[in-house]
Amino acid sequence: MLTSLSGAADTVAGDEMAAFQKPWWRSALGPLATGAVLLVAIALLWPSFFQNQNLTNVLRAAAILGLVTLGQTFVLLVGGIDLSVGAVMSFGLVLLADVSRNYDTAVAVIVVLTMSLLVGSINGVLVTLRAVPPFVATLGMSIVVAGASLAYTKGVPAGDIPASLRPLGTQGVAGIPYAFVLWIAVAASVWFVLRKTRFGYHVYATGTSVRGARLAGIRTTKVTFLCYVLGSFLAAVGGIVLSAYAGYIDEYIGTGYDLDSIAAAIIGGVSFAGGEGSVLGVVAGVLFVTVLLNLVILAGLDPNLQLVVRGTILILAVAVFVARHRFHFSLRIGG
Amino acid sequence: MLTQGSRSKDRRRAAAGAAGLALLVALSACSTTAGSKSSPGQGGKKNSGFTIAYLSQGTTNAFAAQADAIVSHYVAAHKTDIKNLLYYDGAGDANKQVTQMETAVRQKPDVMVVTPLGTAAMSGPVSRAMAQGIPVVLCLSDVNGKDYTSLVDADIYAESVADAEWLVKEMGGKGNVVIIDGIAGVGTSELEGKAARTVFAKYPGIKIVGQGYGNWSPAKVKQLMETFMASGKKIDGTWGSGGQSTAGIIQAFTDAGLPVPPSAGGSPYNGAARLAMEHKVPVAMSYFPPAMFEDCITTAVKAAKGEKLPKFYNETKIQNYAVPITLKDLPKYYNPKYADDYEPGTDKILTETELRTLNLVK
Repeated sequence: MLTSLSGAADTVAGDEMAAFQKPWWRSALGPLATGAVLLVAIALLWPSFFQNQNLTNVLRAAAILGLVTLGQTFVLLVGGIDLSVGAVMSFGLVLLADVSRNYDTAVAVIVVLTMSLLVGSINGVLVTLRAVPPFVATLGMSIVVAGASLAYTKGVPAGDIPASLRPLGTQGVAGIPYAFVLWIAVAASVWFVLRKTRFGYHVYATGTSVRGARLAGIRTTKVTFLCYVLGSFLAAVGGIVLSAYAGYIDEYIGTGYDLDSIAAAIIGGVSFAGGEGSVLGVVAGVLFVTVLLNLVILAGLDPNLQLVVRGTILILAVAVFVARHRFHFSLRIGG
Repeated sequence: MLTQGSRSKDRRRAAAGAAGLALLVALSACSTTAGSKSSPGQGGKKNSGFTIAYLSQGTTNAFAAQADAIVSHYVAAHKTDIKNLLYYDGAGDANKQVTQMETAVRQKPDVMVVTPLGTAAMSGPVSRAMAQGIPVVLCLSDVNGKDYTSLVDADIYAESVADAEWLVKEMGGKGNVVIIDGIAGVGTSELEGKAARTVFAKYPGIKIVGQGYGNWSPAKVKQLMETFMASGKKIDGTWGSGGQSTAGIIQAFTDAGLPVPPSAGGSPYNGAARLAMEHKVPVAMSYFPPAMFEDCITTAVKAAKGEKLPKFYNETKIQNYAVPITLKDLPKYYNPKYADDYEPGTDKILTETELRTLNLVK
């Protein structure tokens, strides 16, 4: 039974969570099984994949995409979508490089994160209070942020990535990149928030049925707003890690992460309709997409063919997920 | 001064055009041999006070920002020749540029300067402008066919061949090469890649062990390069489209603590030149500066005056493309006073104040 609804970060009893949240393993099972099959196939076809250096590269790349995808997951769970994450990452790099010319790295990082909170807040306001469709609101916001970046730099970004930040993107411990450790820590936190707190319960409830959630007394506007803020914030964190890795000013640094993060989340079992998906599934989805990107390069395919293969596998993966989802849905209806 | 085309004027002209459409159809039906009043791409109706439509790539990166600034600078300094510059920001989008081209034609400029964002997409619009009697100067990018007034460009194919030949020689005619292309489908990138592959195919000892699109993004190139490095295959040389690829390649090797093998195909913009010099990387580069946009505008003025122009204005005056720029030449191009995105030669045209406005001065 629903009781106190005010504390967003309050922990909540398991029986209350069960009302809306499905067992964690259900949406993660498909991606995990697919991942296991994939790893066996890779071991047979491309043994060089398992070289230490390559695994380190994969983990690092997965960490960056993973941070962005965790943010995207919040938005998808409430039935939204965020197409502005790539622009937030790119503008974040521009700000990071420019601000750190005159201020400490910590100040530059705070500026970047503040920018992301502002962008997320505007997305949230547009979607919740102005009822702008999420696709339009965040696509428009991506153009605004990219335009702001161009206006700020006049097309010529200046500065360097602070040297003190580089280890975050380039170093690690025992072959495991710091970026990966950060991702796993953030993923564990997100898992806790979504599974063990009242806020997480409200996120799933809002995504399952906004009307139902409102009738139950959940402040869906606040929940949705916070999800957009978190989505943008985690995109900025991913952008900072990517900047630390690249070590070079690159205004296109976030290009492609918006769609890749959506693909990884959907493959990981997050429903486009909202209300369904688990952090474990998202982690599996991110690893699937990253391994795929790595393999098409390792396979030595013609560059144009790489795009075809990558796109085809992504379509197939999403199609398989949707078919599986429909199958379970029909079983529930039939049962 | 840069101005956008007038929409209301467009609408009036569109209305007038619609009213006259039926008459035009009738006339063309009566006589299939009826000629146009204006000859294709013919200028020369006046000697000064021209209106130039400039269809820019858009301020999408540092190169384009410097190119636009150079054009603005030239126009401001030649007010007698150029009365008005109609500026269209393509935002790096070929579809947007096609629409802008139609709008620009309706403004009836004396000449057009276009940096085509799509080789195929812009062919028709350029032909239609020429058919309206408006000379079109293509700036640093081509369209299909030859229906334009003049193309101002470097000989990209020749320079890429020279760079690739240098790499083969540097590798002693054998070894493994990784190729990093620019953006899929972009004419410049595809032409460079085609030239390099044609050269490598001539040498049986050269094996391409990895290839992919780096999107002219140092971060993406670095990720690609690290994947190739981790595959366990020995890499004896790299070929990367543009200076951004060179920067990403060097970053990948140096961050891994490995020596950087010979790298060909880049351009000596400040960032790539700095990294190559810092890490003493054997490189072969070709000069492809935004300063060439000045030649685009001067060529356009000549076209408006009706001067006879070559179909291809080859920018060989800035570099002999048969001889690549190598590591020993880079001090001539690198300037520590400027930011990494500075393109050599820009300071010969823009003032210190203009360079500062563009964030190019450190």
